[in-house]
Amino acid sequence: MGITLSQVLILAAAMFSIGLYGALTRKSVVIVVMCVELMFNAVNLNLVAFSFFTGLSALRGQVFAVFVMVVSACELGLCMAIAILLYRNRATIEVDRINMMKW
Amino acid sequence: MSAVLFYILSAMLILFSLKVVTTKNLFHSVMAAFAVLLSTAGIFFLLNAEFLGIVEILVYAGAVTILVLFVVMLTTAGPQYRITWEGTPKMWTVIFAVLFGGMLGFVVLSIDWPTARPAALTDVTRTLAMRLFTEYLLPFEVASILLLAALVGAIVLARRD
Repeated sequence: MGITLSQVLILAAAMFSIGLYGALTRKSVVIVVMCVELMFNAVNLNLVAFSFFTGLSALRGQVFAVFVMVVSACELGLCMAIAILLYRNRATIEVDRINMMKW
Repeated sequence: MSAVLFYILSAMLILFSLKVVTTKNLFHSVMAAFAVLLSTAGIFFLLNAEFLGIVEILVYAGAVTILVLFVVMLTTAGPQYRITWEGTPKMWTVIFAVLFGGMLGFVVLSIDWPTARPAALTDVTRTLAMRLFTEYLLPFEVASILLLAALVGAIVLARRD
């Protein structure tokens, strides 16, 4: 007996929910961004699983996963630059103390 | 064999993901994320995605973790040095995340997915490259421009002027 599609999908759903919880609760910008990366990874896992289990068209899911990786790498690089900028200007990277854009 | 490996990797994935979101120490959190990314790469290998697994190890577990660690060290140094962050878990976020995960799980379990597995491809990387450089050539080039723009943008944002 091998892996089934629904097992991988459940795993990805659990990972996505954990990442969502972290992104909503954690205070450090760095950890919030890491949790968003966790959610991206869950999505990639789904794409790879669909590509593996339903051979609708060879490897289309993996190609999509490559593009998701590119976009999330860009997002993370920019977020880290913004975190450094915030630390330089406000001396903190806690999300609930960065409130200068509150209406 | 692959099922046993899958269960071990899944358990590692869930445990280290929980560690990422619950630990108070920033450094431990990033290290747990490193372990999560490595186990994801392992699952990619099991799912016949060797190229993506290697990219996951190189780009995520290697480059991204190091970048995040640099930012952690840069932003926790200085006068108000502290590496721990008090997380106050609010009840509604727990409820929201559990409900969301339950909803996803319910949807996954209520659909009967195709069980017949197609024959595994043998030359995955070759096929992926063929797809990427013929059918998806335009998105590939757009993605490279996006990476370049993000690189320049990150340098412009973070430099001291």
